[in-house]
Amino acid sequence: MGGLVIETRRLRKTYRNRRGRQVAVDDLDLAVPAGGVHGFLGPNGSGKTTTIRMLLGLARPDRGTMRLFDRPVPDELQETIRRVGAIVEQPKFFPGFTGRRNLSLLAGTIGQPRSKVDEVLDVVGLRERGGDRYGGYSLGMRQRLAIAATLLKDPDLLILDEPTNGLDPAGIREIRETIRELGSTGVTVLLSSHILAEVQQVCDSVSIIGRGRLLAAGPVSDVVGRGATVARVGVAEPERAAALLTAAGMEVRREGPHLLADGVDDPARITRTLAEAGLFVSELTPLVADLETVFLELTEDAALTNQPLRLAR
Amino acid sequence: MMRLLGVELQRLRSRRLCALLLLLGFVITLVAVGATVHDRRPVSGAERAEAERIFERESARPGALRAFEECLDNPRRFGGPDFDCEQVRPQLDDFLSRPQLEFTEAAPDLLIPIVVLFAVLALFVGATAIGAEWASGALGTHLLFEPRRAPVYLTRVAAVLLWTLLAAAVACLAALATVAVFSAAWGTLDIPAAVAERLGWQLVRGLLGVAMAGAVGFAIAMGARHTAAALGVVVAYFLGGELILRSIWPPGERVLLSNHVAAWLQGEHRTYVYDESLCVRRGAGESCSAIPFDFTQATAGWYLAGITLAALLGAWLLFRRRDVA
Repeated sequence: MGGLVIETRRLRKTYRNRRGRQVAVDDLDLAVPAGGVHGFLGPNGSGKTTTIRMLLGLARPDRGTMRLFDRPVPDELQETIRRVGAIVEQPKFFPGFTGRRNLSLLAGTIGQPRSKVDEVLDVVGLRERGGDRYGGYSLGMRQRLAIAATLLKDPDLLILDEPTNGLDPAGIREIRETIRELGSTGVTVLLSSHILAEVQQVCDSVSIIGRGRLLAAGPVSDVVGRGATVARVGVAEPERAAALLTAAGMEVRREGPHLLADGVDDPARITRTLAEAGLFVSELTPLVADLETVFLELTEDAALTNQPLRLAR
Repeated sequence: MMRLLGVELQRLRSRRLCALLLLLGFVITLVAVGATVHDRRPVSGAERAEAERIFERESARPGALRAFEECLDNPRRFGGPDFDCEQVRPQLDDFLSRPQLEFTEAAPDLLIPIVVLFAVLALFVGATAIGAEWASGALGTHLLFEPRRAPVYLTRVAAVLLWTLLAAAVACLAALATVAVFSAAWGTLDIPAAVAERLGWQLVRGLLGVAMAGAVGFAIAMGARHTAAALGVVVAYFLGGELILRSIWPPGERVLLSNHVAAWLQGEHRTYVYDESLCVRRGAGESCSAIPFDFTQATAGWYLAGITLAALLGAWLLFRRRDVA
């Protein structure tokens, strides 16, 4: 358990609806190391928000165990919640109150002085608009107010569930920078998102879930690295080159005037194989898999198999 | 707990709708007190002069004189040999019909409507205090700061009870004090101890009734997760449920809330039921007469307290385990 801020074991949650029991989270084993920004990825409906809600005591699991800062929750949630700032789905405040009033009520709940409210409004750039009604805030302002609310606790762990939903590009960049800054100050950030580019840019490690199960976890570079390496080959006689590479054990397909060679561990094998047959490459570009490719591969696989995959850190 | 209670009271104080309801309650109370005092104000000189003019005109009417003379001639026709025939003649007081302001009469008449008004407002405040929090999702955000549901539930209920009790107490006491001041100035402020005690208990019961209404509004909205749903349940019960029950099963009158509320506020209540199954006929062919159902304040108190506690307990059991979005 050492070094983990979040750990779940065999966590399961089902909901009853008209179609019977639906499994939202299915034996989920999640481990979030202390420090840095950890991405929590999954398609819509994969169980990310449900997992977060269970961790924060907003929903009850059917079975399984959860720990926050090495303490069991929900039993000891009261002791740990002061260290956790969270935004679940979208920010939720009373629309008739001003931003400042909403925060001061939350600050009062945990015994923080009123001066703390202005301090956190300052951090998110809302001090001037703190006296406006929350109902009149733009999406970006609401999101910033929600982040300000999480900062009231001076958290060690920040759980942000889709924090850039509905934001314009400037707002997205602003939130991303805030997350990076927080991550660099020693706060552990769990960033739940389905925007893969965002996660790849911000996160140090990642857990990918699909259909409520863990599909992959580890440092972003490791997770991305498990995607198959593809090389684009430009050559004068593509038909002949394709036959030579296939004979050398590579999977080759045509893409316009180029060839795409799959499963190439060392691109030098391509040049060597072709040069030995008197063919010389005009282009050799390794196409590195991105998180999106890996994510789609994994989540598509999850529909077929339900095998969790844990990568070495 | 005290810190949380303080936050909840602040939350209620900040709610514009609650402030508006409070204002509405005080304005209506003011109007009711004003009307009570105005209807019992002293007769002015102009009003007395007008009354005397009418009195003299009526006294001089031939019909009135004739009746008086007939009475003097034959008092037996009017009520007996010793009948006071002056009663047949028009009296000046007949034309000065406005009653004098007496605290012991005006105060109880005023207290019950004010209590009922604040009970309705308390129901609304109780419902919106939690219903709006569910609807906006702010309750979920609150639980991220205080995850223990028991203190959250208890302090929210307590805030509603305190807030509505305080508002109703201020309104009732202000109304009684106003009537007392005007009674002392214009009429009589002679309050026998028994009357004062009865009025005091009526006030206590009324305030408890206000608190129970606030608690029930809170409990229903907590269960239904919406203010409108809570108000809908209450309106449907009083406008639909009671009428239907009365029409299809008259003995059900015993369990109707409105009867118990009336008994609780007034001290006792009697209602009559016409139902063949309950008739006791003394002889063949005798028609069925109305059966009186009596409600005492003791049974009403237990009944209303039971309903309130059941509603609060049910709401707690739902909230305790419920997933919060």
